[in-house]
Amino acid sequence: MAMVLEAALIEQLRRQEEDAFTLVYERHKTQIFNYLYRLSGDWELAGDLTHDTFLSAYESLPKLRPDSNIAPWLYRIATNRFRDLLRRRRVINWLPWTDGPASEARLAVTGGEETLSERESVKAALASMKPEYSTCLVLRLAEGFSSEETGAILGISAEAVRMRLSRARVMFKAAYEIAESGEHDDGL
Amino acid sequence: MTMVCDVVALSRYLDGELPPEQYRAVAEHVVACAPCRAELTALREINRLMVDWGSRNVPLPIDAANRTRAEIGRRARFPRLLALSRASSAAVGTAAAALLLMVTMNLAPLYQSISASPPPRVQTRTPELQQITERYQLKHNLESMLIHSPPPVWPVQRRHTSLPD
Ligand SMILES: [Zn+2]
Repeated sequence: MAMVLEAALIEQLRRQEEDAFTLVYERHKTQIFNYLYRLSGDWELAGDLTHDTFLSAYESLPKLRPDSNIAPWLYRIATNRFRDLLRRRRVINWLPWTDGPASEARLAVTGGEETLSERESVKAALASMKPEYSTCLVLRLAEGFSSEETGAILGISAEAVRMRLSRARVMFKAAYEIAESGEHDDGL
Repeated sequence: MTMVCDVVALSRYLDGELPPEQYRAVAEHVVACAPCRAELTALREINRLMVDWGSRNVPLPIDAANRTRAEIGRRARFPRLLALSRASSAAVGTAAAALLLMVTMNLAPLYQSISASPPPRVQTRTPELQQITERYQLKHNLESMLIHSPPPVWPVQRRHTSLPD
Protein backbone atom coordinates (compact mmCIF):
# COMPACT_ATOMS: atom_id res chain seq x y z
CA MET A 1 0.00 0.00 0.00
CA ALA A 2 2.69 2.45 1.03
CA MET A 3 4.70 1.49 -2.05
CA VAL A 4 1.72 2.07 -4.31
CA LEU A 5 1.13 5.49 -2.75
CA GLU A 6 4.79 6.41 -3.20
CA ALA A 7 4.64 5.38 -6.85
CA ALA A 8 1.53 7.52 -7.33
CA LEU A 9 3.26 10.41 -5.60
CA ILE A 10 6.28 10.16 -7.89
CA GLU A 11 3.98 10.09 -10.92
CA GLN A 12 2.27 13.28 -9.78
CA LEU A 13 5.57 14.88 -8.99
CA ARG A 14 6.84 14.13 -12.48
CA ARG A 15 3.86 16.06 -13.80
CA GLN A 16 4.83 18.94 -11.48
CA GLU A 17 1.53 18.80 -9.62
CA GLU A 18 1.46 21.37 -6.87
CA ASP A 19 -0.22 19.28 -4.16
CA ALA A 20 2.23 16.43 -4.59
CA PHE A 21 5.13 18.80 -4.23
CA THR A 22 3.53 20.51 -1.26
CA LEU A 23 3.35 17.12 0.42
CA VAL A 24 7.05 16.55 -0.26
CA TYR A 25 7.87 20.00 1.07
CA GLU A 26 5.85 19.59 4.26
CA ARG A 27 7.30 16.14 4.86
CA HIS A 28 10.95 17.00 4.34
CA LYS A 29 11.43 20.71 5.03
CA THR A 30 12.50 20.28 8.66
CA GLN A 31 14.88 17.47 7.82
CA ILE A 32 16.57 19.40 5.01
CA PHE A 33 16.67 22.61 7.02
CA ASN A 34 18.39 20.88 9.93
CA TYR A 35 20.83 19.14 7.60
CA LEU A 36 21.79 22.50 6.11
CA TYR A 37 22.09 24.02 9.55
CA ARG A 38 24.39 21.20 10.66
CA LEU A 39 26.61 21.86 7.67
CA SER A 40 26.63 25.65 7.76
CA GLY A 41 26.09 26.39 11.44
CA ASP A 42 23.97 29.38 10.42
CA TRP A 43 20.17 29.48 10.87
CA GLU A 44 19.47 32.23 8.42
CA LEU A 45 21.68 30.74 5.76
CA ALA A 46 20.16 27.31 6.32
CA GLY A 47 16.71 28.87 5.81
CA ASP A 48 17.76 30.48 2.53
CA LEU A 49 19.44 27.31 1.31
CA THR A 50 16.34 25.29 2.18
CA HIS A 51 14.26 27.67 0.09
CA ASP A 52 16.72 27.27 -2.80
CA THR A 53 16.83 23.52 -2.43
CA PHE A 54 13.08 23.08 -2.77
CA LEU A 55 12.79 25.51 -5.65
CA SER A 56 15.56 23.67 -7.49
CA ALA A 57 13.78 20.43 -6.68
CA TYR A 58 10.51 21.81 -8.06
CA GLU A 59 12.20 22.87 -11.29
CA SER A 60 13.79 19.48 -11.79
CA LEU A 61 10.60 17.47 -11.11
CA PRO A 62 10.04 16.53 -14.77
CA LYS A 63 13.48 14.88 -14.74
CA LEU A 64 12.69 12.82 -11.62
CA ARG A 65 13.12 9.11 -12.31
CA PRO A 66 10.13 6.84 -11.56
CA ASP A 67 12.21 4.75 -9.16
CA SER A 68 13.60 7.75 -7.27
CA ASN A 69 13.76 7.99 -3.52
CA ILE A 70 12.62 11.41 -2.44
CA ALA A 71 14.78 11.99 0.64
CA PRO A 72 18.20 11.17 -0.91
CA TRP A 73 17.23 13.22 -3.96
CA LEU A 74 16.51 16.25 -1.76
CA TYR A 75 19.69 15.72 0.25
CA ARG A 76 21.64 15.68 -2.97
CA ILE A 77 20.18 18.98 -4.14
CA ALA A 78 20.73 20.51 -0.69
CA THR A 79 24.35 19.35 -0.69
CA ASN A 80 24.90 20.94 -4.10
CA ARG A 81 23.32 24.21 -3.00
CA PHE A 82 25.62 24.24 0.04
CA ARG A 83 28.68 23.57 -2.09
CA ASP A 84 27.71 26.30 -4.55
CA LEU A 85 27.35 28.76 -1.71
CA LEU A 86 30.80 27.94 -0.33
CA ARG A 87 32.29 28.45 -3.76
CA ARG A 88 30.71 31.89 -3.93
CA ARG A 89 31.69 32.75 -0.39
CA ARG A 90 35.27 31.83 -1.02
CA VAL A 91 35.33 34.53 -3.67
CA ILE A 92 33.82 37.15 -1.36
CA ASN A 93 35.98 36.43 1.65
CA TRP A 94 39.20 35.76 -0.21
CA LEU A 95 39.53 32.78 2.03
CA PRO A 96 41.05 29.74 0.39
CA TRP A 97 40.07 26.42 1.88
CA THR A 98 43.09 24.67 3.22
CA ASP A 99 43.70 20.98 3.24
CA GLY A 100 44.38 21.06 6.93
CA PRO A 101 41.83 22.06 9.51
CA ALA A 102 43.68 25.20 10.56
CA SER A 103 41.64 28.18 9.54
CA GLU A 104 42.04 30.88 12.12
CA ALA A 105 39.87 33.37 10.26
CA ARG A 106 36.87 31.08 10.52
CA LEU A 107 37.42 30.21 14.13
CA ALA A 108 37.83 33.88 14.95
CA VAL A 109 34.15 34.29 14.10
CA THR A 110 33.21 32.29 17.16
CA GLY A 111 36.13 33.60 19.22
CA GLY A 112 35.89 36.24 21.90
CA GLU A 113 33.73 34.11 24.12
CA GLU A 114 35.20 32.72 27.31
CA THR A 115 34.85 29.11 26.27
CA LEU A 116 33.16 27.49 23.36
CA SER A 117 30.50 24.98 24.14
CA GLU A 118 30.84 21.51 22.74
CA ARG A 119 28.35 22.21 19.99
CA GLU A 120 30.00 25.50 19.11
CA SER A 121 33.26 23.64 18.68
CA VAL A 122 31.60 21.05 16.45
CA LYS A 123 30.13 23.88 14.39
CA ALA A 124 33.49 25.65 14.07
CA ALA A 125 35.31 22.44 13.22
CA LEU A 126 32.82 21.55 10.47
CA ALA A 127 32.93 25.08 9.07
CA SER A 128 36.69 24.90 8.71
CA MET A 129 36.56 21.70 6.65
CA LYS A 130 36.31 21.35 2.91
CA PRO A 131 32.70 20.63 1.95
CA GLU A 132 33.43 17.22 0.46
CA TYR A 133 34.63 16.10 3.89
CA SER A 134 32.13 17.93 6.09
CA THR A 135 29.17 16.69 4.01
CA CYS A 136 30.47 13.14 4.24
CA LEU A 137 30.87 13.35 8.01
CA VAL A 138 27.47 14.96 8.59
CA LEU A 139 25.56 12.65 6.24
CA ARG A 140 27.17 9.51 7.56
CA LEU A 141 27.31 10.22 11.31
CA ALA A 142 24.84 13.01 12.11
CA GLU A 143 22.12 12.19 9.57
CA GLY A 144 22.77 8.48 10.00
CA PHE A 145 22.92 7.43 6.34
CA SER A 146 24.78 4.25 5.41
CA SER A 147 27.90 4.41 3.24
CA GLU A 148 25.80 3.33 0.26
CA GLU A 149 23.16 6.00 0.86
CA THR A 150 25.79 8.68 1.48
CA GLY A 151 27.51 7.65 -1.73
CA ALA A 152 24.25 7.98 -3.65
CA ILE A 153 23.75 11.49 -2.26
CA LEU A 154 27.31 12.63 -2.94
CA GLY A 155 27.54 10.89 -6.29
CA ILE A 156 30.47 8.66 -5.27
CA SER A 157 30.84 4.96 -4.47
CA ALA A 158 30.29 3.51 -1.01
CA GLU A 159 33.97 2.58 -0.99
CA ALA A 160 34.93 6.20 -1.69
CA VAL A 161 32.66 7.25 1.20
CA ARG A 162 34.55 4.93 3.58
CA MET A 163 37.90 6.37 2.52
CA ARG A 164 36.63 9.92 2.71
CA LEU A 165 35.00 9.38 6.10
CA SER A 166 38.27 8.14 7.53
CA ARG A 167 40.07 11.28 6.33
CA ALA A 168 37.18 13.47 7.43
CA ARG A 169 37.47 12.11 10.96
CA VAL A 170 41.18 12.93 11.11
CA MET A 171 40.48 16.47 9.85
CA PHE A 172 37.58 16.94 12.20
CA LYS A 173 39.61 15.78 15.18
CA ALA A 174 42.37 18.31 14.53
CA ALA A 175 39.89 21.11 13.82
CA TYR A 176 37.87 20.30 16.89
CA GLU A 177 40.95 20.45 19.10
CA ILE A 178 41.77 23.91 17.72
CA ALA A 179 38.18 25.04 18.31
CA GLU A 180 38.25 23.67 21.85
CA SER A 181 41.29 25.80 22.66
CA GLY A 182 39.37 28.67 21.04
CA GLU A 183 40.57 31.90 22.68
CA HIS A 184 44.23 31.26 21.88
CA ASP A 185 43.54 32.00 18.27
CA ASP A 186 42.17 35.46 18.92
CA GLY A 187 45.61 37.05 18.77
CA LEU A 188 46.23 35.82 15.24
CA MET B 1 48.52 -12.04 12.77
CA THR B 2 50.43 -8.81 12.33
CA MET B 3 49.07 -5.47 11.23
CA VAL B 4 50.55 -1.99 11.04
CA CYS B 5 48.77 1.03 12.53
CA ASP B 6 46.10 1.99 10.02
CA VAL B 7 43.60 4.74 10.76
CA VAL B 8 41.43 3.76 7.77
CA ALA B 9 41.13 0.24 9.14
CA LEU B 10 40.23 1.65 12.56
CA SER B 11 37.55 3.85 11.01
CA ARG B 12 36.04 0.85 9.20
CA TYR B 13 36.33 -1.31 12.29
CA LEU B 14 34.35 1.26 14.22
CA ASP B 15 31.68 1.44 11.52
CA GLY B 16 31.38 -2.33 11.16
CA GLU B 17 32.52 -2.04 7.58
CA LEU B 18 35.51 -4.37 7.41
CA PRO B 19 35.64 -7.65 5.51
CA PRO B 20 34.74 -10.35 8.09
CA GLU B 21 38.21 -11.87 8.26
CA GLN B 22 39.82 -8.57 9.23
CA TYR B 23 37.91 -7.84 12.44
CA ARG B 24 40.03 -10.17 14.48
CA ALA B 25 43.26 -8.77 13.05
CA VAL B 26 42.25 -5.21 13.96
CA ALA B 27 41.04 -6.23 17.41
CA GLU B 28 44.30 -8.05 18.09
CA HIS B 29 46.30 -5.07 16.94
CA VAL B 30 44.31 -2.62 19.03
CA VAL B 31 44.73 -4.69 22.17
CA ALA B 32 48.49 -4.70 21.64
CA CYS B 33 48.93 -1.10 20.41
CA ALA B 34 48.38 1.81 22.81
CA PRO B 35 48.39 4.59 20.14
CA CYS B 36 45.68 2.79 18.18
CA ARG B 37 43.65 2.32 21.36
CA ALA B 38 43.88 6.05 21.95
CA GLU B 39 42.95 6.72 18.31
CA LEU B 40 39.95 4.45 18.56
CA THR B 41 38.81 6.27 21.70
CA ALA B 42 39.10 9.57 19.81
CA LEU B 43 37.13 8.17 16.88
CA ARG B 44 34.37 7.03 19.23
CA GLU B 45 34.28 10.50 20.75
CA ILE B 46 33.88 12.00 17.27
CA ASN B 47 30.98 9.64 16.64
CA ARG B 48 29.38 10.73 19.89
CA LEU B 49 29.81 14.42 19.02
CA MET B 50 28.34 13.96 15.55
CA VAL B 51 25.41 11.87 16.76
CA ASP B 52 24.71 14.60 19.31
CA TRP B 53 24.99 17.24 16.57
CA GLY B 54 22.40 15.29 14.57
CA SER B 55 20.06 14.60 17.46
CA ARG B 56 18.42 17.99 17.77
CA ASN B 57 15.84 19.06 15.20
CA VAL B 58 14.45 22.56 15.24
CA PRO B 59 11.53 23.72 13.12
CA LEU B 60 12.10 25.80 10.02
CA PRO B 61 11.17 29.44 10.80
CA ILE B 62 7.58 30.04 9.80
CA ASP B 63 8.30 33.06 7.56
CA ALA B 64 10.91 31.07 5.63
CA ALA B 65 8.39 28.28 5.09
CA ASN B 66 5.70 30.73 3.97
CA ARG B 67 8.09 32.33 1.49
CA THR B 68 8.81 28.93 -0.08
CA ARG B 69 5.11 27.92 -0.14
CA ALA B 70 4.24 31.19 -1.86
CA GLU B 71 6.98 30.79 -4.45
CA ILE B 72 6.01 27.19 -5.21
CA GLY B 73 2.40 28.30 -5.60
CA ARG B 74 3.43 31.10 -7.92
CA ARG B 75 5.51 28.78 -10.09
CA ALA B 76 2.76 26.18 -10.18
CA ARG B 77 0.20 28.75 -11.32
CA PHE B 78 2.31 30.76 -13.70
CA PRO B 79 4.83 28.42 -15.27
CA ARG B 80 4.44 30.04 -18.70
CA LEU B 81 4.79 33.55 -17.38
CA LEU B 82 7.99 32.60 -15.61
CA ALA B 83 9.47 31.02 -18.71
CA LEU B 84 8.52 34.12 -20.68
CA SER B 85 10.08 36.54 -18.21
CA ARG B 86 13.26 34.49 -18.31
CA ALA B 87 13.45 34.59 -22.07
CA SER B 88 12.93 38.34 -22.17
CA SER B 89 15.51 39.07 -19.49
CA ALA B 90 18.03 37.02 -21.38
CA ALA B 91 17.31 39.05 -24.48
CA VAL B 92 17.83 42.37 -22.78
CA GLY B 93 21.56 42.86 -22.80
CA THR B 94 21.74 45.50 -20.12
CA ALA B 95 19.74 43.45 -17.66
CA ALA B 96 22.04 40.52 -18.25
CA ALA B 97 25.07 42.72 -17.82
CA ALA B 98 23.71 44.16 -14.58
CA LEU B 99 23.06 40.69 -13.26
CA LEU B 100 26.51 39.58 -14.29
CA LEU B 101 27.97 42.45 -12.33
CA MET B 102 25.87 41.51 -9.33
CA VAL B 103 27.02 37.93 -9.55
CA THR B 104 30.66 38.94 -9.76
CA MET B 105 30.30 41.24 -6.80
CA ASN B 106 28.58 38.38 -5.08
CA LEU B 107 26.41 40.36 -2.76
CA ALA B 108 24.90 37.85 -0.41
CA PRO B 109 21.39 39.38 -0.22
CA LEU B 110 21.10 39.25 -3.99
CA TYR B 111 21.88 35.59 -4.06
CA GLN B 112 18.23 34.80 -3.51
CA SER B 113 16.86 36.85 -6.35
CA ILE B 114 19.49 35.60 -8.77
CA SER B 115 18.83 31.98 -8.05
CA ALA B 116 15.08 32.56 -8.19
CA SER B 117 15.07 33.48 -11.86
CA PRO B 118 18.46 33.09 -13.49
CA PRO B 119 18.72 34.25 -17.09
CA PRO B 120 20.36 31.38 -18.96
CA ARG B 121 23.02 33.52 -20.58
CA VAL B 122 24.37 34.84 -17.30
CA GLN B 123 24.33 31.43 -15.73
CA THR B 124 26.60 29.92 -18.34
CA ARG B 125 29.15 32.70 -18.03
CA THR B 126 29.46 33.02 -14.29
CA PRO B 127 31.35 29.84 -13.39
CA GLU B 128 34.21 30.74 -15.73
CA LEU B 129 34.33 34.23 -14.40
CA GLN B 130 34.28 32.99 -10.84
CA GLN B 131 37.07 30.56 -11.54
CA ILE B 132 39.25 33.33 -12.92
CA THR B 133 38.47 35.60 -9.98
CA GLU B 134 39.09 32.76 -7.59
CA ARG B 135 42.43 31.84 -9.10
CA TYR B 136 43.54 35.45 -9.04
CA GLN B 137 42.48 35.98 -5.46
CA LEU B 138 43.88 32.69 -4.29
CA LYS B 139 47.25 33.57 -5.80
CA HIS B 140 47.24 36.96 -4.17
CA ASN B 141 46.21 35.62 -0.84
CA LEU B 142 48.94 32.99 -0.91
CA GLU B 143 51.53 35.59 -1.85
CA SER B 144 50.52 37.90 0.94
CA MET B 145 50.84 35.01 3.38
CA LEU B 146 54.25 33.98 2.10
CA ILE B 147 55.92 37.37 2.06
CA HIS B 148 56.90 38.38 5.54
CA SER B 149 59.49 41.01 4.63
CA PRO B 150 58.54 44.70 5.01
CA PRO B 151 56.67 46.19 2.08
CA PRO B 152 58.86 47.53 -0.71
CA VAL B 153 59.51 51.25 -0.96
CA TRP B 154 57.75 52.49 -4.06
CA PRO B 155 59.64 54.59 -6.62
CA VAL B 156 56.98 57.25 -6.23
CA GLN B 157 57.91 57.78 -2.62
CA ARG B 158 61.61 57.95 -3.37
CA ARG B 159 61.07 60.48 -6.10
CA HIS B 160 59.03 62.53 -3.70
CA THR B 161 61.77 62.81 -1.09
CA SER B 162 64.41 63.70 -3.65
CA LEU B 163 62.34 66.48 -5.18
CA PRO B 164 63.77 69.94 -4.55
CA ASP B 165 61.51 72.21 -2.55
ZN1 LIG C 1 48.61 0.67 16.12
